[in-house]
Amino acid sequence: MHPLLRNFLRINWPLFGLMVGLLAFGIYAIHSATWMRDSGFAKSQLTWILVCTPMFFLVSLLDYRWVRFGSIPLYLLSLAALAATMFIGEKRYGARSWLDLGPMSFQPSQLAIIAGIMTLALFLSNTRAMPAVFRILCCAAIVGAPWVMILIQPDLGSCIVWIPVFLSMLFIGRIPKRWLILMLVVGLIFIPLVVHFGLKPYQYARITTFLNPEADPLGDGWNITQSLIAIGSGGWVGKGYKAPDSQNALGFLPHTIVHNDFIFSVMGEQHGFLGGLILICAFAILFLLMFGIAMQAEDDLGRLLATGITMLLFTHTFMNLGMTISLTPITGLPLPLVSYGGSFVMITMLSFALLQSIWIYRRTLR
Amino acid sequence: MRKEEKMRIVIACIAGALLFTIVSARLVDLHVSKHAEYSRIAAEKNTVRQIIPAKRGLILDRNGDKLAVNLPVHTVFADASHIKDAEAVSELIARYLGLKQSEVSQKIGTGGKYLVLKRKVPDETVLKMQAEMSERNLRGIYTEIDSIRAYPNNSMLGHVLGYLNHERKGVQGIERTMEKHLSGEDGFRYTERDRTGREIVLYRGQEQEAQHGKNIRLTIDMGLQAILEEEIDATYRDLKPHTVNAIMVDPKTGEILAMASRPCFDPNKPGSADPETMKNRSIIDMVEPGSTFKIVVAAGALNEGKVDEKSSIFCENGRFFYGGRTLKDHHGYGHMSVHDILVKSSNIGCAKMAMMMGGDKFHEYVRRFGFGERLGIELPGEIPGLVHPPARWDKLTITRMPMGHSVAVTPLQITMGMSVIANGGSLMAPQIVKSIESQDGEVERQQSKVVREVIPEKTAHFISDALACVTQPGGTATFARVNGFNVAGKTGTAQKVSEKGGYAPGEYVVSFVGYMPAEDPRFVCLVMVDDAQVSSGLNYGGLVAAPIFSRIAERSARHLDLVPTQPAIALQPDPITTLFDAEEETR
Repeated sequence: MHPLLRNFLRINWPLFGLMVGLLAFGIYAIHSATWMRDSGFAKSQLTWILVCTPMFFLVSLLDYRWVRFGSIPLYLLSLAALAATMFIGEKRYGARSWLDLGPMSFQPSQLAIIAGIMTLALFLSNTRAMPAVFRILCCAAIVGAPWVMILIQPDLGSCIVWIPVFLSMLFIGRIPKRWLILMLVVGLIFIPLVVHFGLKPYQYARITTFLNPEADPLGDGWNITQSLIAIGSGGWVGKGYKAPDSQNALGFLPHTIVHNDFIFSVMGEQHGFLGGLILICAFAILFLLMFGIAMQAEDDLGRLLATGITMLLFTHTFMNLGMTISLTPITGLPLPLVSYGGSFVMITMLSFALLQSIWIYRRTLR
Repeated sequence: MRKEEKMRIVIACIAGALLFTIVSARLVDLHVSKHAEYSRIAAEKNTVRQIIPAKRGLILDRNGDKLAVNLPVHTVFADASHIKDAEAVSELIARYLGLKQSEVSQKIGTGGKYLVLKRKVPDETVLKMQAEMSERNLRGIYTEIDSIRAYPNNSMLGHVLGYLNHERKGVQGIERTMEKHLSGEDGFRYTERDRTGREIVLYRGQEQEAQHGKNIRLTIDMGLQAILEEEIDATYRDLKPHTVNAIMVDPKTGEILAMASRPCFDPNKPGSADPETMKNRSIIDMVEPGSTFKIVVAAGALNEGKVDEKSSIFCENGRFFYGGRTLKDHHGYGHMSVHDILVKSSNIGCAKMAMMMGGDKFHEYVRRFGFGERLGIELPGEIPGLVHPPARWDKLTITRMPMGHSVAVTPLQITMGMSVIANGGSLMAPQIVKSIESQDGEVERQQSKVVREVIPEKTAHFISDALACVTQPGGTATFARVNGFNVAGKTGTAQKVSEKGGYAPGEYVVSFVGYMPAEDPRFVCLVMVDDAQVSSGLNYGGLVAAPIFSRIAERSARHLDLVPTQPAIALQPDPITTLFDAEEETR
């Protein structure tokens, strides 16, 4: 058998199937969220997916060990893009986080986190012998450079994603637990200081809103209040596809971002508890499969890479679902595979492709 | 792989599962336990459903003149919860709106959030009032845009246009029959209001644009309508009849070019009008047509071959004893052709032609000419008239109906019946709506419709030739002549049916229905005067109605730019005034 075909057949089909299923569900969800206003979003999402499909298979079938020499240039490129964004970036929703590239625009912070994960994985897999303190400090430096630039933009959501990714990679990278616990404690100590001095007023408002949405239901609490009303009014089985009196159809959900950040509110209202539960189960199985890939990885590099990517997508999922049901503050993180968003679809599919590659090139019993 | 690493991944996995469990638990909380509460909130919607009123369509004449328009006005209301200085606000409102200050402050004192102070306030008043409010920094008075229907021509064409009720639904005329096209569909918009009652534009919800009403273009020509109305106004003023009625129709298409009756009303003020004046008598009055009806029997007898152009009928020298009664002619005649019977308007000749045809055939022709049925004009309240079937006739009916007695028809039916002769034999459906035009320029043109072919062209031409002689010297309607044109037509004089039964002595409905130019008619025009206050000796269609027709036709010819084909005739004096004066003098 041709090695390419053999590799193709080794793709993790359950993971692939689940990914395709969720992408399709995403198109359906985007259409459900926007049909009453503008039907272009679902089509645009489909276009993005189709454009990214060749890239997905290319990266899947390529041995992921290209990361060894590819990660550092990619990391430097993302740093450059971030730096460029600081000066010529496009301002959207108050943050200078978009870079306009003629026909399309993308968020360098999304590229930076993938590149950061690769570089961290490369570093951690090659420095097992080093003292733990030194490893932590080096990792902090790798993460710190892009992190600070993203914080300046300011894109708080993207910054928060880095933390679990960073900690989990250190954890899998066999940093002793005591160091990790120490870092967590130090971080917690800093939180009050950051909240009082480091946050912009609107970020501060998001946190108070999260803690008490009823404080200002017509102002800062609007989005979360409406999201809760939409989901809560869905009930057991929801209101159904294209229900005329849904909160979304009536325009109560913030319609500029409903197909993006609040896609779960739409689905929660439309398909109720059962629909929401099925979606969460699908994501849970997805992450189990991804952790499984991390376990089966050939080497430390693969394992770390898989863990980082899994945590990245997990954090996105958790923060997104959490914010629509008032479990987490509103951060504007999209729901992987489901939310509308061109460059994020690309990053997500790239992540899945890396995971597939790690799976295909794992150690096998001959 | 080392065991420890595997363990660490499992730990991470468990941590993830735990977090997802929290999400699921929260979903149970929201979807199941709090479902009732959130459903209630969702139902309340926290919003105001704001109506975006649709603009009512305009009514236009065939040339685009505006006959019914919308004027913007405001409804002024107070939100007492926003008023701080009630004293100053009520003083200002009272001053601008012409209300009593005590009443205004009493209303504001109720504390309501929507207290209507005055409706239909014109634009400029509201602007001035708002300017002073903002200058003095007063709040709590708001306005809503509203509109009122206005008819710029006042009473002109009022019967056709109709008017609106207080719910702004058409209750009469075109406003009523075209209601579904004119009214359009209101849109709506869900909005949030902040604590001060202002709309939060950011939180605007679903919005449905208003579907504005369509414009209705009528077949009416306002130039002709003005001529018609002026002439019947003069008649109504000078002769003081009970009613006057005139209709002008294009015989080839059935389009109503003008339609008016007196008394009339002003659709701008329907509330103050006498209900009697609101009747569009052209379609809801039943009258005995009189001699104008003779065209039916002549056409029928010719068409059935009972008589031909050369047949001569003995007219009994003016006294025909039949069925126990004597039927009289105005003058006594001997043998006459069909042509002469029409020109001289012989009752006996017509009765004999009907008897030749037989009751059933004659009745069939009456119905074929459109009498006894609704012609389907797009105006409300059209009546079919009353044409009894032969089974219910008495012995005299066969002699009376041919001359237009024992039958009740509407003025519109007479006009359309005459159009059959004028256009060569087809009964056209009367048409008053020319087209329905949507706001984006889409035009739905109404087609003219032939109800049925009544008589062949040859028969129609024969009758038409006779009718052209009616207005020539020796005919009954010489006063209907128009300088420069051949006029064809027929007079009618009928005694009024008394409310007590029988005929009322000395009360006549006189009419003239004719068309011009006789060779190629551009319009058919009916003039009908009910109970003109002139002496019985003068109250004939040929003397009262024909001169009005003549004046209308002459002015209409100029308006339509018709080219004269006949030599000029001597100026005719108005028969009523001159003869009336002569009568006075001899007395």
